[in-house]
Amino acid sequence: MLNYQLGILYQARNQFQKAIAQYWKSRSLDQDSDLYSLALASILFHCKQRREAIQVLQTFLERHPKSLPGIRFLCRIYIQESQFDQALASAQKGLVLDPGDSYGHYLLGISHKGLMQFEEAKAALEQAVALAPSYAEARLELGLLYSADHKTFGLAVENLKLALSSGLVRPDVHKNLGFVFLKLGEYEQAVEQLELALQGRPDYVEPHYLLADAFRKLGMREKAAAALKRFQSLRTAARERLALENRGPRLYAKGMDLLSKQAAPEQAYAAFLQSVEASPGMDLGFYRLAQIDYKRGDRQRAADWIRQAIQVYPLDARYHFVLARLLEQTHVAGSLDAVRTAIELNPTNADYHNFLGNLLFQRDDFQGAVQAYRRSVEMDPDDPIPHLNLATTLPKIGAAQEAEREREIYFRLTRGRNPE
Amino acid sequence: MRRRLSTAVLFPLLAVEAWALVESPNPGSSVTFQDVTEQAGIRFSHRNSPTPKRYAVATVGSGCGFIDFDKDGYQDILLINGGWTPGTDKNLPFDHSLYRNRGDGTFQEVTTQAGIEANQYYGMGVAVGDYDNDGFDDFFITNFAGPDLLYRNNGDGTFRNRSMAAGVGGDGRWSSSAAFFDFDNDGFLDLYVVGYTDHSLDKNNPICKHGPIVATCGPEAFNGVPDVLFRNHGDGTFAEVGQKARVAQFAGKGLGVAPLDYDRDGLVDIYVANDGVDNFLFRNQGDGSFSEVGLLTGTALDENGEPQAGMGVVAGDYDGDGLLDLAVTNLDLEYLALYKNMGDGFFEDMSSRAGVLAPSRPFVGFGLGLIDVDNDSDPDLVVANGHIMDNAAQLRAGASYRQPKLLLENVGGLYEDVTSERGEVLTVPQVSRGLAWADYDNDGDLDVLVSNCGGSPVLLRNEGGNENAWLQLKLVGKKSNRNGFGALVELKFGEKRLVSQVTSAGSYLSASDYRVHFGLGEYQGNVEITVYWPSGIRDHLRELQPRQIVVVEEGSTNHPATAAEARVPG
Repeated sequence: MLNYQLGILYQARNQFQKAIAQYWKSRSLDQDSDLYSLALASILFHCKQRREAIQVLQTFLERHPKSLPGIRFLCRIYIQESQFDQALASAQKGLVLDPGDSYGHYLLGISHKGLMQFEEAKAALEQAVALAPSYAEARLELGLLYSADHKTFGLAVENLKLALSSGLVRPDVHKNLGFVFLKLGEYEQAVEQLELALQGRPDYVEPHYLLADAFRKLGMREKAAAALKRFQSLRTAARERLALENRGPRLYAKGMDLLSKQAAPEQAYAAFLQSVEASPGMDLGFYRLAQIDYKRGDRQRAADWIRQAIQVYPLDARYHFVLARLLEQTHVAGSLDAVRTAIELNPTNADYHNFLGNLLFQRDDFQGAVQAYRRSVEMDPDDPIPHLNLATTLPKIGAAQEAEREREIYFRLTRGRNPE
Repeated sequence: MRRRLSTAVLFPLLAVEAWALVESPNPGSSVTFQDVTEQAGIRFSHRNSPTPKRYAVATVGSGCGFIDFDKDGYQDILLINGGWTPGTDKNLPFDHSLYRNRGDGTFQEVTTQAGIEANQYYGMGVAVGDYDNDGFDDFFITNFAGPDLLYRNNGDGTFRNRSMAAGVGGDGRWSSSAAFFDFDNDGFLDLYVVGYTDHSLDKNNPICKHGPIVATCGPEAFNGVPDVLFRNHGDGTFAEVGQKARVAQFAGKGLGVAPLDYDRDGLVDIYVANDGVDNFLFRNQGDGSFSEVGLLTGTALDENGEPQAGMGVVAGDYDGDGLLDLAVTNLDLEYLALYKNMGDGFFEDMSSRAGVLAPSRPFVGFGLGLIDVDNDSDPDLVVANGHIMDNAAQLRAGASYRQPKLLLENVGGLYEDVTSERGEVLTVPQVSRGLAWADYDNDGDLDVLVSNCGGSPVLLRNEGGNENAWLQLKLVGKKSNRNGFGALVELKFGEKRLVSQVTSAGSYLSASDYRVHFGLGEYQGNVEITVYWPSGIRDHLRELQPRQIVVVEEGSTNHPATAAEARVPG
């Protein structure tokens, strides 16, 4: 409980690295607690580590398949990741456990929508609002679905109005309501809603386009021309901003393309360099630069690049592990710190523990090394290397018999394997 | 419905031909489409040369076309082939195919006899038109990363490649759709060639990934290229006038093109469907130049003000108000955009209100026709679908590479999805791209040809469409271009008025039968036709009996145009 509370504390202070470490600890101490697993998954999800979040939830649900909060959360992450078929399966599982759960029906509706099963989506969302009439998000989604068909424009208006009256007072809801009014030929109401959307967000591009249309139909040509002009200028600005934002990622993609074509690494290196110059927040660009320098044998430079990647995004365990590997020969203490941070951020990676074991072995901390190798085996029992390391280290702490068992496991796992 | 025979009527002032005496099928049966590809003898298979690198060109497919090259009154078929990509067998044949319509429902492959050269490039689209006004239709093939090809019809069943001599080979940019049209009304067909992107196999050829999965690059990975406009000198040569005409200033990512006189000023305008960027509407200013008015007219963007992934486009009067509207195919989760011409210089996106949006949203649309398949006197929508990603299902749950076609029936200006009721073949999932239409068997209803990417085309014979009455017109220009392209034809029967503009262009990479086809429903009486020629001449035909194919020669009704009449009344 203490780790969990510390996690909350760190999270509240935006110290995510420490918070993640504490949540991992709390979860490893009690893997059956849905509170700890969900908190960990939640922070991983928040910190853009969605794959890890999914893994945590899947592991938890294997032990507790009837945990409704776990199922719902996993479903939500699948939706965010556009894995709608898996989201649908999760939503359906959740509804078997609680058919009266309006949120479950909402998730089911969103999953169907993602799979382009629009009629099923409407039915599920209707069920959600039947159970919870003031369910604003479900009303919004229904409004959007109904606004695609002239036969259901009335229902679209009804649901969007209910979304607003249920507390979802947002520019996009006003814009969508304005859009449907425009389609219905109710131009004054359309203008009213579109202007409300712009009050909330003056640089919102689309309402200006719709306003131009509404004004034109009301015979207000000057206002229509002004709205269209505003639309164009906002659009140009947005396009330029996007081009600037995309420059780094585009150059990064170019670098990756060159790498995958196994072209001259200098060209890929130049592209990655340009990508981080264009977008200094491109941690992946720094990571790739480190990778190329490492391959060239320039560990020092590679370490500098990976430090920059860490500076941009300190929550990626991989970066800390790469740093640890790069410092292994020159700065063992730094290497130890880095691999420990990697483990704090992701204690489930067997390689990290094995590497920690190696560093501790070098420092004659055989007890610590054995502990690390054992963790590695725990995470990946089929990897022969930690078993071999245990076989080598255990005699040093007087456990020769156990060492022999580890050696046998090692031979069993490597039997028939290519020595390469 | 009454069982009746189509009849040939000799109209005193006109050359009238009746090519078919066709007995209607069983009364009461509705329209269905039947796959007759095999029995028609079409054996073509498109090669797109897919590889794990997923080059963009391997997914855009190639087009198809109808052309009556031997002037026997039956529409022949031209099928465009793809080409080679790195990592595939360069020695495979990638030849296009020309099939001659025997007139008995079967076709004979005559590619070699007709002098069509072995394909050395990666074929894209086809445009059909009689550019030298000799009475025999020529065709133009667009290519990816190679010169475009103009084949002149020698009039003896053979063609000759005149690209170099005519000066229309282009600069090897990626050309997609093309259209013959007479933009300066000088009586000779000019040529509009749509440019896609600056991608080729040896430059700007990235490998795109969605996470770890290699996926076909979208248009955002490339820069757009301007379109090309060739002006016909009238002596068999063309001049590139894109800059002067102010169309080459705009670099779009064009895939589809439709000529139409949207403002009914007697000058043909051009609409270009662009992929992922604003669509263009080039208004013909009558002085040899165009003005781009897409955004101003409401045809550049979707109903929310966002650009869509324009693929194919077709023009037609879907709501019977006498004005030409536009339909544009787009990606899935976007929709088939139906822009209604309001007659005041503006268009309105009617997709949701006309019932087109919802049924089209799950599909990636390419070729399309706005054609009256059931002859009930309003144009229906036929759409060829197929995803651009061959690994679509891997990239997005619920998506599929192969998709069914879509048939939306026009019921008083509102569309209803009748795909599953109009022939099983429409529901068969395929990777469809080009779509062309023609009454290839001259039985009074419109049939459809669809090209499939990396597969065989399908010829869909319309069964039952001719239960309703119909009338077809083939225009022969004298002062205007020989094909009559750009002429507006207005048909009146009872209280109804139908309008159609003559063109072989539209859809996606494809060319269709340019004979004007009108469905007349259960109407049994005679009809009235007015032809507004690009030259300004107007021909007026009265007391025409339905169920026949009429040839109208320009000026044959001896109705000289006044200046006022040269402007078509809206």
